[in-house]
Amino acid sequence: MKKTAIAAILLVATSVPGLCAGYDDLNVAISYFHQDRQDDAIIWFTKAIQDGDLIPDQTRVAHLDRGMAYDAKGDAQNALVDYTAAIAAQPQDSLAYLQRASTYIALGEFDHAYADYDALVKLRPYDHDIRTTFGRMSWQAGQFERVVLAFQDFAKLRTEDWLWLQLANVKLGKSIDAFDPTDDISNTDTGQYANPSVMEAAKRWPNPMARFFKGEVTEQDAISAAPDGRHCQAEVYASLWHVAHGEYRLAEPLLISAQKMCRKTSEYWRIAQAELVKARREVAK
Amino acid sequence: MMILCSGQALAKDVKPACNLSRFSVLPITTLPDGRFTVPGQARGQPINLLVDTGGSVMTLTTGKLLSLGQRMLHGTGALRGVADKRLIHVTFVDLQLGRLQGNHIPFYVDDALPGGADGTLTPDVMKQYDVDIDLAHGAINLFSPQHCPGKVVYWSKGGYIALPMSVVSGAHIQIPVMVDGKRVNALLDTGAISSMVSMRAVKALGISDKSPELKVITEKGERYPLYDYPFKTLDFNGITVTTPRLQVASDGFLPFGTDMLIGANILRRLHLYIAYGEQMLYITPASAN
Repeated sequence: MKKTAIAAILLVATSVPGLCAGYDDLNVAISYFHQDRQDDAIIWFTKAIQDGDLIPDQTRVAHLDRGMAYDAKGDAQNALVDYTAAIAAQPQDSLAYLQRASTYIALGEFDHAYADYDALVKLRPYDHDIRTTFGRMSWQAGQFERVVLAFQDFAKLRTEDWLWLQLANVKLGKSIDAFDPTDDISNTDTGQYANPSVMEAAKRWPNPMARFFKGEVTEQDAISAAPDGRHCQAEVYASLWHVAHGEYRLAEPLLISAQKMCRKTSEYWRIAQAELVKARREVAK
Repeated sequence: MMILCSGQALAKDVKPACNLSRFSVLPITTLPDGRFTVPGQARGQPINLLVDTGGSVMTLTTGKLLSLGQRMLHGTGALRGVADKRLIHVTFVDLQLGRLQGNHIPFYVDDALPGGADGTLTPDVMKQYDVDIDLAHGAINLFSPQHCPGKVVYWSKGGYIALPMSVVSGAHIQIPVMVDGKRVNALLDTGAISSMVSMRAVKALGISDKSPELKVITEKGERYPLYDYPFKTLDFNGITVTTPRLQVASDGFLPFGTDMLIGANILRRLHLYIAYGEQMLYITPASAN
């Protein structure tokens, strides 16, 4: 092996002073953030920012991640400050807008959230993910007509979008739409590469959840059908089905379980947290 | 086969000059988990592509496919990946990447991507260039592979490591590394958040699923449990990462024949120049200047 004659270069896992001190501290912070060690992450993101030598993209992600860490700890105000700083560092970044809007929704500041949505639509006008993310946020805001608008174009092609549309339909007193599992064009974790039969397609996640919505399988069967890493999502959808029907006592245990299972920085955790607050309020009435 | 044409014709049978010829500079956007995307364009819309040296073919999310108004087709074969995941649908996209343009490029459809990524940029495209990954300065540079061998470390007057790399199964980069003094063949995988080594490979270190220092980190009942273990060193033949965070993957999680993935959590600490043409990997610490 060729190499120049140099002493071994040591890269310690924790930060060492160097030419890019901020970058090194940022990497430590990201590692803690990924391990859901929010307090340690916040300390190291703060160090990285204070080092003063991050490039704009790194400043953006330091603020964005620190904001998400604050959100996971329930500190919405500090989270908003960081998301705003992330947007200032890179105004084209859609992730920071999405996070900020989500926090506004959780605080009930819907005007601010929809202002961020308008900014996002200008950045990425045809973006499915932005529209459906706001559809989910509109659910939290109780604006079910907006949920329908967000998901109706995609519901025939993607089961997850179909699920959200049906939740809104139930809330609006409408009937459930038809569902054909072979319509789903999204990737699944256990697909066959030949054209699937209806039975094979029906087993693919998240189609079992759609079959539960249709009354074709039990809730337990639908949740059990979730592949590794999707149990959080399964419990959230099952709980939302109960919420849509006003069955808060049935939703509550699922939401509690989902909160334990979902990563704290995931959108499903935030949904579960928000719905649990509402469910407990209803149950207490 | 797809080729991204830069508009610069490369004359054949001409001895390459030793200076590097850069085709494109792609600014990086760092994702919350430490992975990173580069910007592309298709049908006038921005596409953020996760740089995934561990991938095989380009991918696109369903959401982005719907946004582009693209059609989806059943592929003639399934693409199989980590944890036995399979991708079955394909689409074809005209893509612009910096100054480079490619037409009718096949993309598999994959929704298991992080927020902020619309798809992936993979070695089937990247291997036609030398790829310079400079995360500390926020850029990926695509260079011509035609240059004098070994004359690529333009960014540092200090030392560097030159590792011969093997290009295996679909242009994956495999290099030999030392984990706690034992040699393991590792794939460079910028598309992985974490780095992991198989239970099979760590048996040479005396580690088994009964080792007391092994701590499970996945939920109970997961088909392929993952574990934390306090490894001491990861050595790239002269560049050593101490107390590296390497997860131990139960057998079957990593694709067949793969003992180790080096993911973004470690690669972020390095400046990498992937000379596909030479089949050499040049490494310095990320902050080398």
